[in-house]
Amino acid sequence: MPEALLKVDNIAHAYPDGTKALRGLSLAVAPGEIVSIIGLSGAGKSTLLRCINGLVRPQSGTVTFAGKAVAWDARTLRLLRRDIGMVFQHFNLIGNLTVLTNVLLGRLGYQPSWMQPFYRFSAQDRDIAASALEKVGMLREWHKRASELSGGQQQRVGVARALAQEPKLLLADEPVSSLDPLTADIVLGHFVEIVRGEGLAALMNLHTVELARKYSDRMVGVRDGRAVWEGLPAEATTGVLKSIYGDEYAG
Amino acid sequence: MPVERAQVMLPPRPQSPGARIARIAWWMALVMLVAYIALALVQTEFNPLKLIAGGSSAREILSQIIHPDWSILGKLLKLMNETVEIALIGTLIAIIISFPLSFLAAKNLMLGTPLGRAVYALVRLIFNVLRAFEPVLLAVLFVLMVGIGPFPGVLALGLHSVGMLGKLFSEAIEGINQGPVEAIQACGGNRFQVIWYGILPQIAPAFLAFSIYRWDINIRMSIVLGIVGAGGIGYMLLQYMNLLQYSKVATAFILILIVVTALDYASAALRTRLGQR
Repeated sequence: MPEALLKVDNIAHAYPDGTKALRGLSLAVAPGEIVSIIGLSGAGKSTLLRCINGLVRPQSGTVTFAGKAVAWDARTLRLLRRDIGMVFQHFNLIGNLTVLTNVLLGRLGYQPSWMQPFYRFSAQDRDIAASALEKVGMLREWHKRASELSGGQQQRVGVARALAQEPKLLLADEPVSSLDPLTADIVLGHFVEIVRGEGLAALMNLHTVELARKYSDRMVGVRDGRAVWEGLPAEATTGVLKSIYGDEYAG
Repeated sequence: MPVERAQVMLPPRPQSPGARIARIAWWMALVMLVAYIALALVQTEFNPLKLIAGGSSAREILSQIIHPDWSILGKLLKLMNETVEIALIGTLIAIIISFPLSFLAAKNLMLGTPLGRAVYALVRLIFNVLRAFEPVLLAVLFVLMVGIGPFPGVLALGLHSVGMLGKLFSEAIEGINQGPVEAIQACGGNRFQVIWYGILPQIAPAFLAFSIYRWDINIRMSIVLGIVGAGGIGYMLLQYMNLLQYSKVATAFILILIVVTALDYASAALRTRLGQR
């Protein structure tokens, strides 16, 4: 196995209200690998992704990305987040801005300082954004306001924003769970195709086993803040899924 | 065939131990309120008959009022324009001051650290104090400080509006969707970029709508401010009244009515458009 691009080692996190989201979770993602995480709502999947790009700071354990342990100063975090694109369940686009501007926001991590004139992006950034929009098939809609788009289109733009970062790793937090099943399958299929085409790695929380089986190289089952299983999609038997989702899991 | 329905008895309402006392307190409060209303009617010398009696003595005034003096229209238009300008500059000053402050008075941005909480409390206090000063009182103060004219009106409206706009702006910031903020952070955006790209576009329509509405309110307020000497058409209105020139008062009234109504409609239409975006 090649050296891991991302290593999560024994991280634990509890929220201020006392909820223990993560209780010593470890996993690794190799370059170019697509890994999906499955588990019940509240198992800690979202917190896990947020610990990787530092939106949440784990109380113990380490995250290693591209051979470097993640530190918590602003500069290191900025460089880390630049290299890790994120796609969100509710897309998190800015509805009042155009599709193009939303994608250009993926370039913010590269702008030298906060004294940059606002809403001005370099020609190079615009090229990168246009090419990201083309990859997700949204180039023709570049001038529309994000709020005018359908859910599936919004998530395509969300993907384009992440791609515009020119990341090494993509995190996707239930990227298609707010879309209808058919659109979900199309959007996720397209996403995975792009990730493979670019040779990127991806770590996705998925809300259905079916999608995880279909679109990942490897699956990780999370239960009560721990990784309780990992294996190939073919190995995810009913018995395994019961150990992840509980005995009520009905295949 | 009638449907047989089982009779369902409502379970007894749970009685808390204080319920009896609370009921008595409610009744006492109601009695006191009624008593106070009665007292107020007496002390305000409320008497509709007086209004009817006064009508006949006002006949002379009324006969003048139904004949507005249109020769002063040009002069009044100029003063009306001054009133609108006082409101405009007062509102602009308030926007410039309250815009940056409103971020410091937004819970979701400030409550993270002890210093943030202190700044939040201080700025909120400033807003509340400024709101508590009625523009008319402020105008009296500023007329004493800088003299009669439009400038004290600008200062009074500006200061009071900082409190009003600051409160509305900061509440708009508190109501934003946190998702885009998280997305900007995840892209590597710093604090300023989070505010400029994640928050500002979300609140811009609300900020604009509040600002237009404030200007609208300030136009009406600045007419009143004129009466205490702070410029505009209100000042002239007072003069005509003191000189018993009621046909000129009538012209001013009509003009104010038309302009204020027109601007009210324009502002409402603009704000509706902003709301629909």
